[in-house]
Amino acid sequence: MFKYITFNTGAETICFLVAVICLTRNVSRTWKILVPYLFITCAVEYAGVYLKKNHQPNQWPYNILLIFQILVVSLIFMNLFSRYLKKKTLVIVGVAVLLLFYIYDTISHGFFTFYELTYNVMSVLYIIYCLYYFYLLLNAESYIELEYSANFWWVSGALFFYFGSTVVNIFRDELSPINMGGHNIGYYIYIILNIILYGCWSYSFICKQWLTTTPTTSRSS
Amino acid sequence: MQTMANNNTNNIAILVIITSLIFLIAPVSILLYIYIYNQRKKKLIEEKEHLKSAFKQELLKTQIEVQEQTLTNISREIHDNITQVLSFVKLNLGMIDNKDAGIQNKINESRKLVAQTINDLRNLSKSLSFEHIVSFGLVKTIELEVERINNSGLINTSVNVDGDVYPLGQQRELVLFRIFQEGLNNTLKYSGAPHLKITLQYSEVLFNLTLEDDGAGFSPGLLEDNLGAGLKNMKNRAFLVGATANIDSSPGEGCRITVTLNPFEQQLYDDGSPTDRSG
Repeated sequence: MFKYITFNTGAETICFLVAVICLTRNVSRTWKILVPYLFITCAVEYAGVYLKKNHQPNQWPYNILLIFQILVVSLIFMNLFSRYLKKKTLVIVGVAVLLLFYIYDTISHGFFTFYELTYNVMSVLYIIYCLYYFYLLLNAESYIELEYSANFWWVSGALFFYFGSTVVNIFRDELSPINMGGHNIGYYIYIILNIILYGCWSYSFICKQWLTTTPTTSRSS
Repeated sequence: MQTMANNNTNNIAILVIITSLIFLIAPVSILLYIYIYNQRKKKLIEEKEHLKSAFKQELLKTQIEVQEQTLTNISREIHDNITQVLSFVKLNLGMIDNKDAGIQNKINESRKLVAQTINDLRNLSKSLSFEHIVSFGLVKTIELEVERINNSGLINTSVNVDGDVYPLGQQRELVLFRIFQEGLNNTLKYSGAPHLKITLQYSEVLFNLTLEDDGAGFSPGLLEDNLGAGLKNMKNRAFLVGATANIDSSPGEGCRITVTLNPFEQQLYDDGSPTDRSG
């Protein structure tokens, strides 16, 4: 059992448990969807470790996860933007584009090879979403206590992860031959990125349950 | 050949690490910028709120000063002009010597009515005038007002004073008296209450003014409507002198207005007195 516990699976499992504790009550339906999503992520990660240990191709489970990632993360961004924007076109178009790339990747090289193109486009799109969210946050008339803002920490985690993973993906071919302790260097970078991502998300869930602050607006005396 | 390959691998590793660091520093910088910007925005919003609050207080202060000035002018007009004219009318009536007993009785009755009117107007003048309130103090002024209302027969009003009376400051006493008048006016106009109980509690740390009637009462939702303008006005006036006004009422249960003040807390309107611009 313990042989399946890695830095990645550990971080994801902890985040999933935090989500179960924090997101099952008193939060919006959109945020609740992160609980099954993190469960799927953990399942995929454990399946990936199992397949790798049994010397079988382990990229197809991540292709399955990718479709959930596209839908769930986009849904959360749509929810985050809804505070500032009425139109949902941006995120809907984004999902449509990513699904088109997903279909293209499936047709072009089959289901058992990692959908690198889709993943890269998704990472860049999510970086844009993160930056756009921060732009909206700064332009809003109200201010929020960033330290306790669930939305802010969730987006920050996503920004770190997708920024970093973009680098790893760009240099994937160059990174493959560089081995350290039986793994290529990209693996270690992913560990750091996963810890940052799931650390930020776990704190975000804690904020969502107990500390979330609403935007401060004009206060009348 | 192998050394070259190793060097190449090392160079790539360094390049990757540097790029990763840059990509790590970039989000950190963005987040730091957002944090600083947000803090500045917070500061600006707080300053704006503070200015708004100060402006609101100043506006309220000016409104009350204008109102006080107007009331003082009306009070003087009543005292110096109308009551003087009525006194002259009373004197003239006294000088009429009519042989007809019926007419003489009518004249005497008219003289009494004029005397009563003069008396009522003088009392009204006192309750309107800032100077009278200042010179008599809050308790005495409220007692005089209550006496006047009881004499009118509109409502049965009682005043209780608990604790040792101490001065609250001219401005505060004036504002508290105006709140009392507003409450009294509301009771007379809307409640239909047969009784009104007024309590002034002077403790070491708090002053309480309570107006309690047994009238029709009203729904708490009324406070949110325009109809509750007078009640809101009471709250605003209380806020101006650092007091809080609580209004408890429900249909059929009467109304209870409580004004609580910490006499040791300084507020904007505590110092100075309304400017007498009449000269």
